[in-house]
Amino acid sequence: MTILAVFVATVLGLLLMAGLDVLVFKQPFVRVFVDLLPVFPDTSTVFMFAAAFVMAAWVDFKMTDRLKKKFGKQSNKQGSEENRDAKQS
Amino acid sequence: MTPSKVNPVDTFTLQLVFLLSTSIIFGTPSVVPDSWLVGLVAFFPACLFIVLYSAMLSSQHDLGLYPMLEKAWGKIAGKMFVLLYAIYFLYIAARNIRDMIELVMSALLRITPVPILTSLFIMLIAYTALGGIKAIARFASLILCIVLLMLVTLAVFLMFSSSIILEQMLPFLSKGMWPVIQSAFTHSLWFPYGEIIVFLVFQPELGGAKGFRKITLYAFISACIILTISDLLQIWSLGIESKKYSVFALLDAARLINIANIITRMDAVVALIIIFGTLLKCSVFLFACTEGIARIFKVKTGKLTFPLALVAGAFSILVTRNSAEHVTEGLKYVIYTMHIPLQLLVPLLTLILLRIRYRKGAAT
Repeated sequence: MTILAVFVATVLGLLLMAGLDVLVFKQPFVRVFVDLLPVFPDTSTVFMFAAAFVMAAWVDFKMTDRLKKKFGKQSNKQGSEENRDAKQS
Repeated sequence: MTPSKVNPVDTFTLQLVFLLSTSIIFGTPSVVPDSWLVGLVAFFPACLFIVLYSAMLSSQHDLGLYPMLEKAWGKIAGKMFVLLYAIYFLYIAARNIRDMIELVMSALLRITPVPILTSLFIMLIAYTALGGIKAIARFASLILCIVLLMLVTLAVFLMFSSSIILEQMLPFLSKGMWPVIQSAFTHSLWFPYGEIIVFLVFQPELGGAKGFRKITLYAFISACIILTISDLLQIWSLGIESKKYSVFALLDAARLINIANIITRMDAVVALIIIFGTLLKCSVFLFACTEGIARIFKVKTGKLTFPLALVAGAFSILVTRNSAEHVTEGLKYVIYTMHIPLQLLVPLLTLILLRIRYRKGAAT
């Protein structure tokens, strides 16, 4: 859902900026929109958008939890669970 | 559970720094010779924003802007308006980042690549926004002290370097009062005063209608006084004509400081003022945007902060191609197409709808 939210915000933001550029440059919408899109020579904005989507994907796919599960220490967790059980009993 | 309220002093400093941040650097747009009067004149109609927004808040028991829109316009249209406001706040954040980058590029870091500056700055903004409105408000007190101290320092140094010539503000009202009133209604009313609408989003945490009315009025009065003094300083040191053609008038005024060839190049101080101010303003806008988007997509706000900050950073690079276009777009097109509808028309219609739909004793 985070990826979708970022995607919607990006598309709507680009449309809004293109709409304003139509008023400023008095050019057709499609031309202004294409000019606005981050394409090859202007790589900096491409990287920024890509980073935004990577971050959103990281959150959506719970990468931190997955990596913790795979590589994190498990002994502490077990210990805490044991303690909780002992307290409950 | 009701959210804990932000301290009224912190709310006041937050609103004051928010109002001062970018407007102090650009000053009042010099479309008329007596631009310092424009800020004063704009204050009076700006108070109508306080009346309108506090009427909205009191009609719905201090509900935030987004739930209020949904309540007034219905579920689907309300969500569309929430999305519209979220994108508007994101766009304004992007424009403010661009303002800051333009100034830093011209004053401090001339050969540093823009994407690097932007990326570093948006990381700071995102980190500030991640703390929530309470953390931003506490941070505002510190920033206000720094900004005011630097402004006073600037004024004192300008005075000691004999750069202040009071006659530079003459001729007074050479074209009459009408252009001043016109400029107040077409520019200064919407920026910065109208942008206070963003604080409606956080009203459950900021104290509701009663607090909003009082605190915002004090913030408006303080901002009006400080901005007028800043405009006067710019005119006294640069003159009416030079100020008209200067993009960053306060920066140019700071460049005039020269006390016995020892204290010079004070433009870095001005750059610091805008860096701190913009940091806070963008954090507020980014947080408001994440709240809106999170509400629609039912995600936690914290998860959206960094991705949306990066999007705002990319938008700040794409938003305009050069400085001249940036200023023209901001002064002309953004005001008529975005500020007026979203700061006045939609809130006014929302208030009318709320009053009709939720009349006292009337079932909806």
